[in-house]
Amino acid sequence: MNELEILQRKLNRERLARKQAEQILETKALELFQANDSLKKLNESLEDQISQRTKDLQESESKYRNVIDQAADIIYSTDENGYFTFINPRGSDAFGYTVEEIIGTRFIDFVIDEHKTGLYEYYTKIKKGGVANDYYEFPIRSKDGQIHWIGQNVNRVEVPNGDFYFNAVARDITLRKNTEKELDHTRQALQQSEVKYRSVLENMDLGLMEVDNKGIIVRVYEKFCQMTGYSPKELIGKDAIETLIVKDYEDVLRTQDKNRLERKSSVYEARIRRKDGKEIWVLISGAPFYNTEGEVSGSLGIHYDISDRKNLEANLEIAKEKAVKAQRAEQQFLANMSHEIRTPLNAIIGMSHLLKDSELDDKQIEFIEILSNSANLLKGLVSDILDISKIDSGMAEMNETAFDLSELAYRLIKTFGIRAEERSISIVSNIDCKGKSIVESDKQWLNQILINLLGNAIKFTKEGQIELTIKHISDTKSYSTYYFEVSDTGIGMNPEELKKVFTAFKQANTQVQREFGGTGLGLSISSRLVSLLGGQLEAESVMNEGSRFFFSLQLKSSSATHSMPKRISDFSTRIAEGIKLLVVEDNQMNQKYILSLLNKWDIDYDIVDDGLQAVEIYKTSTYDLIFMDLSMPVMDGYEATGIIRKLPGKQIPIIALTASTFLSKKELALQSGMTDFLAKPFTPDDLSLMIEKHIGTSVAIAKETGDTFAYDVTLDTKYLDEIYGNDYVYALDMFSIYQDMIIDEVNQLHTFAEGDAYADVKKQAHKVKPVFSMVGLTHLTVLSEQIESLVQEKKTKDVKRMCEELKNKVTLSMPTIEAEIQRLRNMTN
Amino acid sequence: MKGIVFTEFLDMVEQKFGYEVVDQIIEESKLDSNGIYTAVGTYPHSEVVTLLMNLSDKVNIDPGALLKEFGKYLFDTFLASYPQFFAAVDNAFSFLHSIDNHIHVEVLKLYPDATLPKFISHETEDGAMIMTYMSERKMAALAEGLIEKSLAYYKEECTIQTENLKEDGSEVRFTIKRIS
Repeated sequence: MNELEILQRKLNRERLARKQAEQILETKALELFQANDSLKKLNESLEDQISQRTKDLQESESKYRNVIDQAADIIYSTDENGYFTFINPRGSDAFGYTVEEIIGTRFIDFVIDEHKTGLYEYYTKIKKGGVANDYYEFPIRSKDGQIHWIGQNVNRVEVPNGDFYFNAVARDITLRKNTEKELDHTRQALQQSEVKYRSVLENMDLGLMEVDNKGIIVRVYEKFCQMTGYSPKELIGKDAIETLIVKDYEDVLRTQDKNRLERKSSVYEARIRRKDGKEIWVLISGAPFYNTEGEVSGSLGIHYDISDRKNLEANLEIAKEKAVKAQRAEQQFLANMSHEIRTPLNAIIGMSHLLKDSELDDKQIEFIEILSNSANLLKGLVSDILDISKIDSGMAEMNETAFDLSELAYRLIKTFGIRAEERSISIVSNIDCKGKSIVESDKQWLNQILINLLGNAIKFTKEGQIELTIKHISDTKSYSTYYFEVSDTGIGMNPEELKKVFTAFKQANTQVQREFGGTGLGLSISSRLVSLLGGQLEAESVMNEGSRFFFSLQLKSSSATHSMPKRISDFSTRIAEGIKLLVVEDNQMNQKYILSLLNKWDIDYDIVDDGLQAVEIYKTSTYDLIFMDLSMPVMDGYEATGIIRKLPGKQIPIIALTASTFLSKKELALQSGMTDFLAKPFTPDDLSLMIEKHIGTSVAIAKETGDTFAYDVTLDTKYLDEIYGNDYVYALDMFSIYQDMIIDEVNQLHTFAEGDAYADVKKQAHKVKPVFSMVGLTHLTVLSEQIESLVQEKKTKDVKRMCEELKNKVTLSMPTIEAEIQRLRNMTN
Repeated sequence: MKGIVFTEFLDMVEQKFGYEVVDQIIEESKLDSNGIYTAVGTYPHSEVVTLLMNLSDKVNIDPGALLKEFGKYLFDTFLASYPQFFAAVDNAFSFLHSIDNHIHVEVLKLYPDATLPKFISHETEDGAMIMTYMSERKMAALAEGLIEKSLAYYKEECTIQTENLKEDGSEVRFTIKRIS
């Protein structure tokens, strides 16, 4: 029963518990329903809110999207693994890919390989280290292969579930990067070049120092310290001038410092005092340097130690002074000696001549011969020495006249032809002036040069041939170039002798001197004369085969000569009043020529035929000037001058007149006391200039007729125009005199030759020589001169032949002369 | 207190002492609920105390020992009903840590009004586990039974040292050391 009750209670409890549970569950269910219901309502309201918010968001997004799309910067997003999820149009432009091509690709794939690792590490840092925002630059390759530099700010954006993605704002910085790169290159290049130049400078013997604008040392280089003996510490901060510069040069340095401030560079010399007190010479190249604003901030000095050079210079200066003094002394000595020697030498020569005329036995005659020869040799030597010392001391004056090269050559060949024949060698000429043989130069010098060369050639040639070549080479407007050569087949020279051939007093060897004689000055004088004429004498030689001497000269051509103004027509007549001249001349034609000129110019004069008469008349009258012929009968010009010079009274000018072309004649004239030298034939201009030169009075000149006269073409029309100008009355006079006298004169010459009176032949030839030129028969003047030379060479046969020829030619030319006289007469009437 | 404690307690009493004892302690206890409990209900904590004290009188067993025995019984119920909590870890200490950190968190999700004891646990340098029980319900013995059964379940041999941190038993420290 008890058990049953318990069981009933248990059952009842179970039932009640069940009901209680059911009650609880029902309550819970209701609560659930209500909760659900309110949830539903809440949900609806939420949906509204969400749709509103979505709308707001869309608006906001579109606003931002607009901003993003139009942004100048690249804006993109990637997921946490770097895959693009978004990129704006600017970004797609930069990469060159379309937006569609970019989305879904990995960001890192666009990056240049070398930069991938760095960028990967950067992103890893952001991912792991939780860096929210960072800036980074890297290069990418766009679709067209171009490299673009990108600089970007990355935001790491976390989403609520713990994931994150990246937002980046980037900018194409290629331009800036390139500029930076260029700057880098420039900077690097600058550094390299600085390093290079510094090392170069440091390795050179140049001391560099920099000072500021106040002259305070701001930097010194090692070489400069070595140069000055100071350490950098001892120099930096010090005043450069006070510390280093020798007092006398301080002003120089201060001027230079001022130059630097005015942006000028310069090079100058100064003296520096070293730390040890020793002074050194330096060459300083100073230049300003500038700060970044372009203002002068100081100057740089490059110092080069020139002490050694300076010492050398000083020594050289002393040596040069000594040498110049020595040379001057030598020249002086030579000049003095020549003069001193000449005086007693003249006495010796004169005395030996007198001695020769006295009664002597054979032995004595032989001694006198030797004495005379030696004295002549000695005189030649002194003459040469005087020539060379004149040239060397610059006292030789060039005397330009117009002359015919062909004629010069012709005369030379004729002169030397006689000497060559004696030695059974032939002499040939090879003259090719292409019709331009009239030149203007120093005829005497050129003649002397060629005489020396031909003389040497004959001297050293025993057999074979000597050749004189004169060739026209080229023309400029007013000059022509000519080539001159003298070659021989003589003994020749070895190379060592050739080297010394133009040196004064050097003959090939002593044996040559013994065998051939001479002073050894001929070639030396020739070489110097060629130099004075603007050329260079050169020589080639082969031992035992021969020698060749040659030179080229640029000479004023004949056209230039023609274009020179003719003085004769430039001046109107003026009267030189109150002067009186003495003319000493034996040649009738010359007398007539000079006198007619003097008459024309209204100059008073006396005229005599020889030296003795001159001396006599000189004693009784007073003259302002004497024209003195050299070769005259009774007493020649030299002697007459010598006597006149010894007479008391005023030393008036005595002008030598001679047809000789030899320089030595001029020398002789001057030695005998004459003042100057006028070569025959001369033009009226030559004569008037000579008078002007020595008296200082203007003398002139011809009457103008206004008409022109053309001389016969077979005559030397150029010369005729030159001497007569427009004065055809005068020309007619001269032609008439010629016609009257010439036949007699030439016949006289012929008679002398036939009678073997060679001394007379020579005198007569010399006398008629200038006459032919007066009527334009220049070639007959040359012929007369050759006769003179042939007599000298004792070529009697040739003399006779040539005299015959001259006579014939004169006869043949007479009809022409007569015709010219007739024409001139017609013209002047 | 959750109804499951009452239903499981009475099930244990019935299993150990027969329904007669269950009936007696309910009748004697004069409870507001008249001893009618359902697992989904909630009942005053005092009623379980009253039932426990009456049972102790009836069977003449120390209430602490009864409570510990109830803990062991309750472990089996939990194991059967919530196996996922046990499978989540592979050793006793991890499981004990998970009570406060995980299991009670989940319980509170289902029963927001439940009053649960607090367990603070940590391991010392020599490998022992210190677990402090804190509850105004002062039912540390029940906890001890649960701990013992847990160790047994993971087949770990340990000593458990118990120390009252507060005299009223509201704070008790268990020191659990592995025997090795």
